[in-house]
Amino acid sequence: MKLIRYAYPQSQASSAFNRLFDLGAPTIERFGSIFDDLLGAEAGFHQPAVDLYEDDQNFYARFELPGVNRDTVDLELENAVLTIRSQEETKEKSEVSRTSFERSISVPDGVELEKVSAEMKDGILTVTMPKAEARKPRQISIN
Amino acid sequence: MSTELDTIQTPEKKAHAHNWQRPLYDVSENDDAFIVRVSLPGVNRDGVDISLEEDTLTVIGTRTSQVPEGWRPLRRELTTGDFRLSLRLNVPVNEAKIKASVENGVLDLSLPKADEVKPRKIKIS
Repeated sequence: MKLIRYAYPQSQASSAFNRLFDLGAPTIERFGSIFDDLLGAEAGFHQPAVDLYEDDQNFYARFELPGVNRDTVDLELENAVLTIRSQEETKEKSEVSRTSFERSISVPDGVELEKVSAEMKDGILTVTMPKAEARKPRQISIN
Repeated sequence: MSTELDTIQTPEKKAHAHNWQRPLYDVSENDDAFIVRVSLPGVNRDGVDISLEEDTLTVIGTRTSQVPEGWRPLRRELTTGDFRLSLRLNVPVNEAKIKASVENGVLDLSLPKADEVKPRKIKIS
């Protein structure tokens, strides 16, 4: 008989699903939360959850980062992949605790890199990625 | 509409009125107090409501940062409900001296222990 240590099998699967998404698989709304419901949000994979939105002018990424100090967060946008990284050390008496995470998500093409901005408020990081002119919807008038 | 139908519908409406979500939290302890850290992303200090009734501590966090109108979701992982956490305290705390602060979407609660449960230092004479 073999003893196999019980580990949430779904957790593996869900992180694999996450990676699928990160590689730009088609959108299914609220996918991540299905697993959160099953396992409790804590069964997480040390990756922050993110919502992606758009309007006519911009794309927006909203990360949930409660308790994360903005100075420890690094954002990088390259080849339509947005990467967020954070590493933090907190010292309490003699204990040092380190928290770190990293996540890459694919964002749509056609972002004006120079104008990307980010704002942190109440534990939510919003990254605003302006669309390049060519991507914006245009009104065409008929003469 | 018959009254019977009304009575059936009312509780359902109430159940749907709020989409509560249990937040992540940590409890730690030092000599003087219990420290409860509750993760409430998207909630600022105005959205936090703390109440202590008998031995039940309830924290309600109402999201204050909403997604602006006109943003179309491309992909969603975040939950949108408001937060509610109820904790039963099995030790007496000094209600008058409870302190709370909210920063970066995290609520820090300090519940000072009542004098009778504090560890007592005994001097050797």
